[in-house]
Amino acid sequence: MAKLTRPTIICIVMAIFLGVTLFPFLWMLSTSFKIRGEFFTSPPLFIPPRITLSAYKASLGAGGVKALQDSFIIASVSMIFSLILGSMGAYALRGFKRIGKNFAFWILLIEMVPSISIALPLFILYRTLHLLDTYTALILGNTVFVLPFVIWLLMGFLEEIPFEIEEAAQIDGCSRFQIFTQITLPLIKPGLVAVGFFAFILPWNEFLMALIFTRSRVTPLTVVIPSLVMSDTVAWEQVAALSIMAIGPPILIAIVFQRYLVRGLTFGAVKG
Amino acid sequence: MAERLKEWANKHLTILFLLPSIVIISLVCAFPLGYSLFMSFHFWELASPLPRTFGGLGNYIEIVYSVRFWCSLFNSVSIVGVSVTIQIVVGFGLALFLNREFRGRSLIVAVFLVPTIIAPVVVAFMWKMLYSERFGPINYILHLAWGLRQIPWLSRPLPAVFSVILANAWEWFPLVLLVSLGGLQSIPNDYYDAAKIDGASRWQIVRYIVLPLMSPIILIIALIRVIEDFKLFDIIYVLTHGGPGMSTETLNYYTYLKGFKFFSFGYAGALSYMQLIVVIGIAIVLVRNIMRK
Repeated sequence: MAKLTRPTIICIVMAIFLGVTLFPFLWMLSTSFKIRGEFFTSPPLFIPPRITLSAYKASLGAGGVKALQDSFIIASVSMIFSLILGSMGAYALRGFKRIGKNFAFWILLIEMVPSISIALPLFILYRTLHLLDTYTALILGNTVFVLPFVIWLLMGFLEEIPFEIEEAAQIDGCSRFQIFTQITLPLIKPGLVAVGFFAFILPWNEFLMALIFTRSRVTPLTVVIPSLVMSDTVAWEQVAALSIMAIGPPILIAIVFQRYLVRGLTFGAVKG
Repeated sequence: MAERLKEWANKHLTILFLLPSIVIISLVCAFPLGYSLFMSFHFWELASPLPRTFGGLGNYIEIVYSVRFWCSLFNSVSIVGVSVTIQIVVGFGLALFLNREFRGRSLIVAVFLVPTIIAPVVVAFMWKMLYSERFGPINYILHLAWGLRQIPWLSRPLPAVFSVILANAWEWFPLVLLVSLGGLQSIPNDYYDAAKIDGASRWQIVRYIVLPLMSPIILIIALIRVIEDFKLFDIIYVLTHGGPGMSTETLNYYTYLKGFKFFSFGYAGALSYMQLIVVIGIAIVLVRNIMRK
């Protein structure tokens, strides 16, 4: 038996954890390619004998397309709103040095509030305003949910911009709004990308609000997937197919923008 | 006229920029928060034709005497406690291993991040399929490797709690990993060099240099994870619905049931504020530990 050198141990441990990390995902992927009912085989099939896309077609037909559309609408509009409001808010707050330091504390405090505390009255408010089962309800809820993080992270990015650049522009006669849109924002583009990723993903993945505030007209992905389990025979392959489609966008965006993301994630988190 | 408006806007840019955020947060966050406190002081059943009545602390007293409340609180604390511990140990441990430059490292870190960026609902369904007693690969592999009989992952109380803990830990340890890596990389190399010159072993380096330097960051991420995991919902909803019985019914899930299954809005409001108090209490304890470092 070869000597267990330290690098070997590290490799083995890494491999084990990588395997544990990937296995659930691979199992779901494999299930999504099975034909209907193939989930119920014992011993379980790791690789289906025939790879088929029938589950994908079926789940898309059973409301999957609308689910993808609705989630996309909610997530992208929320992202746009929170980026706009968030960048403006972060820009406005950077003058207040004391608030900047304590901001993390306030965010922590807000995070401690259970979502139900807010969801209960919000349910009544939305019901009164006939906003139940609308895109607006979820877009508002998600934007507010995401906004503190967006502001906090963007404040971190804004700190890196030296004031002299803006001063120079001010001397040149630019209005503060022009400085903001034409100088500051372009300078923090990587930050906007990283934060934009979160501002999209969090609403895309959100479940509780989607569950409570929607019925039949708005059907986000996260609610449609469990609803496939409501009948007496569960089409696990369709659940798997729709789930794979649900995690497609986040993973794709992450791969494309990974450079910005790691910087953004560690930046915001370690700064606190 | 337009010129004057522009000048005014320019002068008051700060406030104008803050206004939309303040408005929307007040409407959708602050106001509901206050209103649910108001609700918690009333006996209010949405499903009954009777109007709501003022109850003062009545709901809160009922909660304190309710066995189900204390059970759910116990579930919350135990699930959160064990899950966060696993997340920290695995996340930080892997970060220690990954804290060196080598080819393919960013790819490996990216792979590790997958559980965190996929939707919690999807995570729940992944594990629901894995945990299937007869058709799931976990029982199959356990049977092949160690001849174990089928484990009832989701249909018996104790395994169910463990299943929830494991699925949740799987989902979030990458976040701890990422933050730990960020922190580890901010330790200057001179520290390591000095220690090696003094002849310290790897384990001593970790214990006397890395851990003390990293403990504030670890405690902060632990605090964040505890706060977030108290709000755990998706995994419980999909995997167990709080069952079997009430073994995986956390305080947060119980509040959801009371509010949106039974529509006891007053009671649910009070429950949510109890949860807030508990979480603030735990946070204070943890923050005191951070302050001491």
